[in-house]
Amino acid sequence: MSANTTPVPVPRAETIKFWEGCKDGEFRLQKCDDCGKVIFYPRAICNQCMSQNISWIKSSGKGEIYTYSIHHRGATPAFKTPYVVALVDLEEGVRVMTNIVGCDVNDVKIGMKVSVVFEPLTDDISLPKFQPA
Amino acid sequence: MSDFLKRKKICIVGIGETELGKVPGKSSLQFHTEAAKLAIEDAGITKDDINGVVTAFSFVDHTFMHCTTFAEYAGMTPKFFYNSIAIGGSTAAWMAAQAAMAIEAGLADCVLCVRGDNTATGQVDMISLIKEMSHIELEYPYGLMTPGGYGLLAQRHMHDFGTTSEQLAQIAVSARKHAALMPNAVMKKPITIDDVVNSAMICSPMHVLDCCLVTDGGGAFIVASEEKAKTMKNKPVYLKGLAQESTHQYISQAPDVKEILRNYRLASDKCFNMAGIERKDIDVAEIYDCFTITTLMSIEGLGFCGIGEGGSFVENGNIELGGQLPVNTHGGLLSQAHLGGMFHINEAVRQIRGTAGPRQVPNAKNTIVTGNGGLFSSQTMMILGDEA
Repeated sequence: MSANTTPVPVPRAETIKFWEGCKDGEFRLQKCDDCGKVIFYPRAICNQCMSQNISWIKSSGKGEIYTYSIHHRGATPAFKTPYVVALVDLEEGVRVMTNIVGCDVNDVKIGMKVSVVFEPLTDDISLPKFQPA
Repeated sequence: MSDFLKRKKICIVGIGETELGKVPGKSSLQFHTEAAKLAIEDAGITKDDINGVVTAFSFVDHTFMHCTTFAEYAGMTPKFFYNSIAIGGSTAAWMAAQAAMAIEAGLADCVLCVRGDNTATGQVDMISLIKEMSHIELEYPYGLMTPGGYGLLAQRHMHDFGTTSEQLAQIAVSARKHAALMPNAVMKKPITIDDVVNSAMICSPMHVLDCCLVTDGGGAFIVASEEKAKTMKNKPVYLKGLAQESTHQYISQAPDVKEILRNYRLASDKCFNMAGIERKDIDVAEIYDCFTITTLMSIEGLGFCGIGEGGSFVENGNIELGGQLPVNTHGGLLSQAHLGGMFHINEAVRQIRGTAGPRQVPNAKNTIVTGNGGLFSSQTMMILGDEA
């Protein structure tokens, strides 16, 4: 990655279906067929019961902000400051990292209801971000 | 509960630290070797007395087999070596633990623990470290910075408990006050709470003065059996308790802040039980301080106050010399220098020896040292004292 470009995720075995979902406008999670645990980030094995019987489910894409940090220094020049890095609790019970977009950074609050939007980075990779619901 | 430090008494017998700050023209291995030499001289031994070596890692010089590379450079042929303990800022305390385990197992009786790096002037981009600490696909693309990872924790701590930026700033102010008394400290100019909260915001709510330094330098300490220690010149400083704990690696996978703190508290209970002392027996604490929030959460996790009470605990000089719990009497990572917590151990040793000069806590008998790696991902702690 050059310092002047946004990092583009490179899908691995566990994450190919996640990124295929993003391309199609779906935020996908995994669910254990044996114990019912909803799993994120994508894994080959359930992190609760170690079952390998895991299915993909579609998230509602809705959640609320658990915490956030307004970044005034960019990780690379590709990141235009200020920007918000947040942890969002999805309705399905998992926590994800994201950027909050579609509002002033100073309007971001813990507990704010947000919903997913997909930002295309390349023809194949769209990065899920969240905006006020 | 492990009682191995009661069965086999183990001590720190020598410490060394090099010139710190921006020190151009020296390699990582040179800093290692200079620090090792100073620790060997401090212990009053020769390098031939060293029969075990533990190293951490270098951010600048990525070496495949780091420990044996160092040993060869320094002319050592150890019979026990542990290559590159790599748990970030929690490494230093665990180097001591690993040395103690090797001594208890009879593999060595005099173990050098050494780390050095030219992080400030070497060709390293500290910002890119976050790439290695975060999920490469599902965190890194969002531009998370290391101060931002701690900012996420601090923002939620403020939300849950009402902690303020001024309270966090107090930790930086107290560290700076102590650094002014430390000859080998990089930042000594006094600062105020206003200075901290008005300094540049890096990743909210972390201002630049809430963040640690980036430093060149080397640090070392030597761990030995009590039998060996008694043949040396320094007052032995005994390892009394050890604990290690992890709830997550990636910050998005961390449990709630309250749960992180409850887990930390359980680990500290184990450490105190192993040492056979109580919190009130701690005279001085050397607590990892990569960011002010790290120290605040660690004070809560260690049980010196209740969970969520750290903000008021650090106010009014309570963590300064003369206060209820002097913390980071050397100035810490915030004001002395940053070498992953090696100097927290060295200062703890000086405090127990009674050689900390103007920073000495009178009659210090017990101290606790902590380390924290990643984004609150790895916790280590160690109680040291004047008897086992």
